[in-house]
Amino acid sequence: MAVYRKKKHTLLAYLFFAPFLVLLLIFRLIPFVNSIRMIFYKWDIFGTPKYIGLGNFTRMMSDKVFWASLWHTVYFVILTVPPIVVLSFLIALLINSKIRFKDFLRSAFYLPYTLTISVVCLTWTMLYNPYFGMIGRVMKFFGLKPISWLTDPFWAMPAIVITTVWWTIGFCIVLYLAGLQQIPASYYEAAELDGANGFQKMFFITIPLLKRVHVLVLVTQIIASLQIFGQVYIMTAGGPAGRTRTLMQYIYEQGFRYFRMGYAQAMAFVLFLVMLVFAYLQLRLMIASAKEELV
Amino acid sequence: MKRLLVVTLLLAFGLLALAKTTITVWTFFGGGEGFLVTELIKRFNAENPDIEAIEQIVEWGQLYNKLTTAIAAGDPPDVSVMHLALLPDFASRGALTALDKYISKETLQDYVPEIAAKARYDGKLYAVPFDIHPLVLYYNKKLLKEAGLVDAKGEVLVPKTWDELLSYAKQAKEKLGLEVGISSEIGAMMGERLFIAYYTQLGGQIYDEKTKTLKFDLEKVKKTYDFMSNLYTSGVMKPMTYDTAESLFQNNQSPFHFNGVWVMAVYPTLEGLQFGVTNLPAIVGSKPYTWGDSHTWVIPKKPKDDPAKIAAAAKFIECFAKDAAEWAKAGHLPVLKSVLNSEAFLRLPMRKDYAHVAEFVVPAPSVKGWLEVRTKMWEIGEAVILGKMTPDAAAKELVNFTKQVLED
Repeated sequence: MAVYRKKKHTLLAYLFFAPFLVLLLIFRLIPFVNSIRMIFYKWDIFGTPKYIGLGNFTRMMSDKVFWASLWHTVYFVILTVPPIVVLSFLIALLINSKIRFKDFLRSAFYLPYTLTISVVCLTWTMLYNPYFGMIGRVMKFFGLKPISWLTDPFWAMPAIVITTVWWTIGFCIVLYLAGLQQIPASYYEAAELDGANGFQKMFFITIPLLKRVHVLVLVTQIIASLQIFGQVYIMTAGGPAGRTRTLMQYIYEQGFRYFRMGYAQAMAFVLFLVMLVFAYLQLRLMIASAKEELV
Repeated sequence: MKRLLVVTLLLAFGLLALAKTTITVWTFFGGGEGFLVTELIKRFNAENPDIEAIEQIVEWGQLYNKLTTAIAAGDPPDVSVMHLALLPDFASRGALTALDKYISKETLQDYVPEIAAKARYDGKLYAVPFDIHPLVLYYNKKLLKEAGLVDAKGEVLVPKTWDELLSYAKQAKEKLGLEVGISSEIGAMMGERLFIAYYTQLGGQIYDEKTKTLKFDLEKVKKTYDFMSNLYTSGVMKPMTYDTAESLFQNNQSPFHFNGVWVMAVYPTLEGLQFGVTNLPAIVGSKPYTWGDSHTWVIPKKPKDDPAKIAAAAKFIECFAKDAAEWAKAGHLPVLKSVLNSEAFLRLPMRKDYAHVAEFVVPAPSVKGWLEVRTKMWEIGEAVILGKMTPDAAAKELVNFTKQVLED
């Protein structure tokens, strides 16, 4: 009887899952399998795909632009993730402390995250205008020479990083705030009774207890930053002189502009593998910290 | 009862016969251009009660991606706008419908010959161009007067050669303490458009008649990059984005400005901007050749041709092309000789100052792969301008890359 009921429940469960599963199958799994298949083909999207074995991968090995784009992607991750993690943590601490205008600050930091990518990028493009933009004018006021951010080979990537941090940090702040609010106040009270100072409370209570949030923010930001595309596409189109061309931008160019769908998919597959490593890492770290908490 | 059924059926068939042929039209025009297109489509619908053209506006940067996937999915629009420079890359892949059967001889014969030739691929007509938009030179009259660049009659001096342009630009910049003497975007505007103008003026060719393919002249490419590099090392120009270049010119901060004629929909309406427009300067002994592209209409290929729709689409395309005087309000030059010489066109503001540029336009070569080569030109041009590549290395890179694309 018990077995029968269990079976019935599973069936019912799948029935409830069904609408989602059908959509997942049609819009995710089938295209995914197809795109994996295409990495072995030369395909211009209009014609019939031609099997070329590992041709796309040998092309990738000798394609300087592929390697440059991969490096630009990693460079973007290196520049973006640490400030997001550190700043979102510090801002969350600030908002969580007993200060005035807390609610205002919380909304102010979260607001950019609700904007669409094109609005964010166009706004920042205007701010970056060296002669008429706000940043240039402030720099001029302080006697500095304005920088032509988006056409400067050195500053173009940092400009995109600044825009990205400003845009996405709100989400990480919310994660940290949720984490901070879960730390029982009694821990701090007990520590205070033992004579702990602020520094000790921070390093022996707050930071260790937020371990899961650190992992979550770190890994999701790495995975999201590896897929950087919209900001580059809208603000620099990969320029100047290809200095901000990231892997996603290159995949887009090869696939949709130059009709090399197979090659684009092969590169997307490489990016997928890199992200898979980080996703796996996240899973391991999460499981480890969950086990730790159980002990 | 039976009679009622018959009447109903007859009525239904009658209505079907009266029904309009609807065609979907993809455009990417916004601003002044957008209003004009919508107006012209409305006019077409009013004049052709049997056809209804429905405009679907796709974002400028997205149209070709969407068109590509729509054709691949077998469900493209009946008509789409397409730049002439992209035609070979789509036509060579069988993505477009040949139009020879549908467009009248009179219209085709009225075309500026170079443009008509480029609307073909492999001998077949695939596009109906409805404008040409060359790169031209804009100059700020107020700044040039302030810098003392006027003739005996007090008229501003308009540079005819590159040397004149550079010396005027330098003089105005220094005298007025401006950031730049000439403003321009570094990507497409310099790397492709100005490059093609200067390279052609040097006597360079992009298309090799003998081998029927793309071919650059290494020596002339190098000279062109030398010239471009000097514009920046001399301080006359500074690297900037399209928006920045426009904002400098529009706010009286830049005496000269390289841009396409499309800005003529906006610049004359700006208060406080007294400007002139003319052809690009020329190398002494050469004509002022310049880069130019065209907007065209194409009929994307569907899995199964629907003759009624194609005929309706072709009619729309031809009518639109003939309405070019109206479309020219957006700044573009007409491509039909009859319109180019028409009173209606020449009456538009300042058109007399640049209508003649049509004669000197160098359109993109009809070669598959041009799309990729020209984008590489933007990148190499930027590298030269930013001092990240010597003109010598840049020339070799462009020639090698072109070979690579053609072999692929």
